[in-house]
Amino acid sequence: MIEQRIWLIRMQSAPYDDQRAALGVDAALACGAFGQSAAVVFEGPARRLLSEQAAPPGADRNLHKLIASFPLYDLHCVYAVAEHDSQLATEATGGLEVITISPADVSELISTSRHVLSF
Amino acid sequence: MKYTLVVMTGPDNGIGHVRARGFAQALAQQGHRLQRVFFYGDGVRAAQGETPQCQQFWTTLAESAGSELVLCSASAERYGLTEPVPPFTLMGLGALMEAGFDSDRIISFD
Amino acid sequence: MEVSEQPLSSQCDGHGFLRDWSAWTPNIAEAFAQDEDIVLTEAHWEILHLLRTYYQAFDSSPANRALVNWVKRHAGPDKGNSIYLMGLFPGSPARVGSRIAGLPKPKNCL
Repeated sequence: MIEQRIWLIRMQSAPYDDQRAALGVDAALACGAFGQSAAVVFEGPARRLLSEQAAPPGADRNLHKLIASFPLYDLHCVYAVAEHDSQLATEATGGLEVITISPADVSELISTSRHVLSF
Repeated sequence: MKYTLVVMTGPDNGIGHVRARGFAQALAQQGHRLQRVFFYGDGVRAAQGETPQCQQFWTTLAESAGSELVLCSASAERYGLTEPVPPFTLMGLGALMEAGFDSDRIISFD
Repeated sequence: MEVSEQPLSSQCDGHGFLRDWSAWTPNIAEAFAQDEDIVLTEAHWEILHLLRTYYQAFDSSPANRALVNWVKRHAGPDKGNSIYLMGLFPGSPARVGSRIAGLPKPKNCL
């Protein structure tokens, strides 16, 4: 059973290909900073944000570290969509709980969230 | 219904921006209220003089539909848009969060 | 007293934030605090050091909510609350404190 929230933030882009992942992380932080409930879901290549600690040289910010600050914004858990039953290794996310969900759970999140933003 | 659109692609970059324009027009035709367009990331380039036709489209829409045109201030700074031409205004992500309360639907275009 | 080679303003961005956080010194903190009409005490230094450990851990400056939680985690609830932090850094503790702590201007607009 997934708790109902105002915002659903779908992270779908590869971490540092363009600004998109950074925009999504900032939107999630904004939800936390303004006290609005948000579910943040990492799908496909965006799942690397949870597992890869290093940022490429010249990256504006280390997004993995930013995500590790989510609990301080009262975003205590995020979702990662399972792919091919593989286990997702998540490292050093500073007490952030990562819950693995299925594509069907994502559909449920979409239908129960008031606003959906995809990045 | 009250809508806010989030536009994340530049005027000349893929179809996201074009789709957002089409959607905005359709909303007006169907009698919906477009409260605000939040330009985020590359989307802020809508306010640049380099794409005057796009800038004009949104300006006209803001005048006829009474919509706010908000540029994310951090994204705008990245593109040197520190003093955008009215009716474009600079605001933080708080403006997007406010839309979470006052709009029935928020639709993002990327 | 250690004297900086360059004037402080040349080390700052257009918003008065230090560009290179590693160039920060207690003297720079005192100068920034003076701009903000704050006289630094032990209580201020404790928070300034926590702001710097925050930046190191998360590659970003905190918004107020995150600062409150961070201080709560490391210095307890008596200090990790907005009233205490507002008392030390009036206005926006996160913004004012981060500037005095030598952190760069946030790259987002929370």
